[in-house]
This record gives sequence, C-alpha cells and structure tokens, in this order.
Amino acid sequence: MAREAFQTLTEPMYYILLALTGECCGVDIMNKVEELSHGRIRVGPGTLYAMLARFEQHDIIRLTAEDGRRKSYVITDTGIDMLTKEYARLKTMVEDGALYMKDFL
Amino acid sequence: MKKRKIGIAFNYRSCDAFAEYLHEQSLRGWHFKEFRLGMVFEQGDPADIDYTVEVFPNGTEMDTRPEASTEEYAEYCEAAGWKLIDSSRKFCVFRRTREDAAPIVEPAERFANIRKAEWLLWLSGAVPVFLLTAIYLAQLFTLNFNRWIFNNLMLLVLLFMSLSSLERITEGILLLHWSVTRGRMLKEGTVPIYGKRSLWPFKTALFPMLFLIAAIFFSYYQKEYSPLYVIPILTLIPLLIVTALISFLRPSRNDNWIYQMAAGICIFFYLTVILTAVVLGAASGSETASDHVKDFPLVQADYRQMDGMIISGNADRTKSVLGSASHFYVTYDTEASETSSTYSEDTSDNLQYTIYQSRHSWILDRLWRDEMPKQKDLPEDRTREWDAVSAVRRINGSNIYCELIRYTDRIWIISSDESLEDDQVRIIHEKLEHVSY
Repeated sequence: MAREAFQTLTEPMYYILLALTGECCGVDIMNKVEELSHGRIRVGPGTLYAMLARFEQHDIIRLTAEDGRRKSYVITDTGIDMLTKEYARLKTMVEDGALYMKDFL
Repeated sequence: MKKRKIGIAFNYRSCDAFAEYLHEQSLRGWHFKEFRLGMVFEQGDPADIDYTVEVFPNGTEMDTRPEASTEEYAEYCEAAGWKLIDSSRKFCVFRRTREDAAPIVEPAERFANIRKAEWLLWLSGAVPVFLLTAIYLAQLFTLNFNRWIFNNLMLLVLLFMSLSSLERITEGILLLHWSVTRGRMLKEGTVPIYGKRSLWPFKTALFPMLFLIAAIFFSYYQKEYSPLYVIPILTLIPLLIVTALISFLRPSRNDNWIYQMAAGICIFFYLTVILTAVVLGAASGSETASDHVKDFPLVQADYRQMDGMIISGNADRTKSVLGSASHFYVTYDTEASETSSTYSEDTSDNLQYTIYQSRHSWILDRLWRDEMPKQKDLPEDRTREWDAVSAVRRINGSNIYCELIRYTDRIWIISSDESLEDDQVRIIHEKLEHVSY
C-alpha cells in the first residue's frame, strides 16, 4: 500500500525522509530540509504536517516522542527501504545521463 | 479596547479574498481577533499586516474553535512564520510574523484542500435536499396525489424543495466548472487566486424569506389562514437561536455534536407540541354533526324518503391553486327519533361522496385513473344516465354502490348503501352541478 502511494518520491518527500534518518522534532524538520538542500527546498508547514501524517499512516515514519503538541519522528525500515530505492533510482538516472550530458555541462 | 462584529462570510473558494479583506481592515486600524457570532475586530493602530487564510484538511464543519489537531498544525505554521489568530470550521486565519515565511502549503495541495472542502460541503447540503425532494415528489405522484395536489401548503413546500434542489444542482455545476478551470490553471503553471466574496449567507436566508412571503400571499389570496403555514417559520426560529448560541459559546467539536443533537431532539418535541396544539385546536373548533350537515351539498333526504335522523356528518375540504377536493360522509339512523337515539349497524344508512374540482384536465385524468376500479369485471357504464364525459358504477364486496362520474372540470364519487335510480341520479346531478369550492 505504502509503495503504491509513494511510487516515486517528490523532492520534499525525499528530503523529509532524509531529515528523519535521525530522530527529529516535527517543527524542526522544515529547517533541516532547508539545510540538507542548501536552501534549495523549503517545505511549507502545511505541506509538512500533511506529509508527516501520511508517512506515519503508511508506516514510513514512526512517532518517537510527544511533548505536548511537539512530536518527534524517525524513519522506519519501510521508509529506509523506500529512501534507498529512490536514491538508487536517482543515482542510476544521473549515471545514465552523465554519458550524454557531459558535452552540455 | 473598541470592538466590532461583522457578519459577512466567505466560502472556501474565496479564502484569498478573505485574507485580502482582513488586510484592508488592518490598514484601517481594525484587526481581526476571533470568530464569535461573525467576525470580531479590535480597534488599534492602522498596520500593514499580511494574512493568509488556509483550509485545514483535518478540520470539520463542526469546529467552532481551534481543536487539538488545529493547534498542532498551528505549531508548525508558527515555526515557519505564520501565527494562527483563530479558526472556525475548516478556516484557519494566520498572520505573517516573519518576512521570509514560506507559503503554508504548495499551490497544488492548497487547491486540493479547498476543492475537497467545497465538495464535501456541497454534498452535505445537497444530498439531504435531493433525498427529501425525491421522497416528497414520489409521494405526490403516488400515494398522496389526491391529497397533496389540493393542498397549498404541500404544493408550496414541494415548490421550495424543488427550487432548492435546482439551486443545489446549479451550485454543483458552478463548483464543477470552478474545479476544472482551477485544476487546468495549475497544470498550466499558473497559481490560482481564490477571490470573489461569497454571498451565501444571504442566499441561505433567501429561501425562508421567499417561503414566508409566499405563505402570506397564499393566506391572503386564498383566504386560507392555516396555522400550518407558520410551522416552517417556527422551526427556523429555534434553529437560528441554536446556531447563534453555538457561534457565541464556541463549544469543542465533541460538545458541538452533543449540543446539536440535544437541540435537534428539543426542536422535534417543540414541533410535536405545536402540531398537537394545531390539530387539537382544529378539532375543538369543529362543529357538531347536525350543524355541520346544513352546509352539505347533498344528504340522503335530498333524493329519497328518509326516516330517522342524521347521527353523524363529516366533511373535509382542501383547496389549492390547482383545484379542490371535498369529502362528505353522512350517516342516518333510520330508527332514531328526537327522543330515542339508539344506534345499530343494521339501522344505519350511509352516504359518502367526494367532489374533485380542477381546471387542469391532467389532474382529473390522474384522479380518474386512480379511482377507476381495477376489477376483472368491467364496471357498468352510466355515462348516459349522468350526462357526463364518462361514468361507471361498481358494487363492492359489502354491497356498497359506488358511482364514479367524470365531467370536464370535476369528478364525483358517490358511495351509498342503496343503488341510485335514474330519477335520483337527476336530483343528485342538479344538487351537485352548481357546487363550487
């Protein structure tokens, strides 16, 4: 089910999962994503909130701590599997393109 | 601090117009504070404040204040530079606190949230209206045709339900058009602006207002002062009070459900009491049998020799813009006298007749079809005797003679304990032909 819903990860999804390879508080993920992407990706709070709920629902991340309204999450094995596959897919795409793109870069 | 309440409302599709309105008010020194019986603004120094109004996907129409999930959502937004001022239903009003605040949601997600909220709202309003209209229309054209077609109140209710259904259909078409065009804009890379102020609060009030005007018109024009006309209005009053109370008290989502269910039960009992009072009032105002029959167009004694006296007489007349239906029932006790009134089934003589009048032939055609016997044996043709467009006689199992007579603008149905002879038919014809309701 999770795999069908997240066949390919969008950029914000990819970076949110990257941010959650270590336990992280929900509200801090926005800053972490910005750091990881060197300021290229900014995830809106609404987008993040909805995405965390969907990830948790599909067992891609799990809740680790809850302090009032502040919740911390970490990626699950399913999530790591998805992230690894996405990384491999992106890497393959880059490697495939490298041969043809070197003259243009 | 000076406050003011403003009663205008926006729909989800106009959330950008809502934010712009709040911005304009802040420039004038009126800053949005909360939702309570409308929008509450506090006076302060004019300021150029940026607002954004978002549709919270986890919110519900029962939310009157920020729920735990809304507050959690607000926590994320606050960290990103948007402070939640207040929320109601699925609306969340944020104020920008950081210049570099990122948009709360991506355009595609925002569109999806608004579209979903609008469609759910439309469905929750349209489905009950469609169902009720379908049930009422089905009843009009099946079980209750002969009663409702001659009842102005029922016709009015059906007219308004049909109009309300048409309005919902139009709204649905407009919403579909909005969904398609905004979806196309997004695919083409344009970020839609959710503008235009909604007029829906006025639209909501329009139908009850029109119903009231139409009810007053019918009461005056048809000289029909039925207290039943007031019932829809009497229902509306407690509904408005409950809505206002909930809007003022702002209960939590769960409490709101409890309040609304309790209010629903109270309104149900309140209406039951009113209806009972109306029915009992009508019953206590009715005349006695003997007084009553003086106004009857026909009793047994009009066309044959009768001994004894009338012991019961009932009449039920209904009239609408489409015609009238009058039902009469007269019982004689053939052995009763002024001094003794012992009644038994064997000594009673019953006459029951109905007069349908309408200028609309389709109504009479329909009633004729419904009233015609569906027996295997063909009823006896009596067209010539009654000098009618069509007339038949049938005898039912308990030896009741039933004459069905159709003229161009009326139908008579006469049931009696005895067969009507030709000369009696002529007398009845003369008595009933000038009757007009």
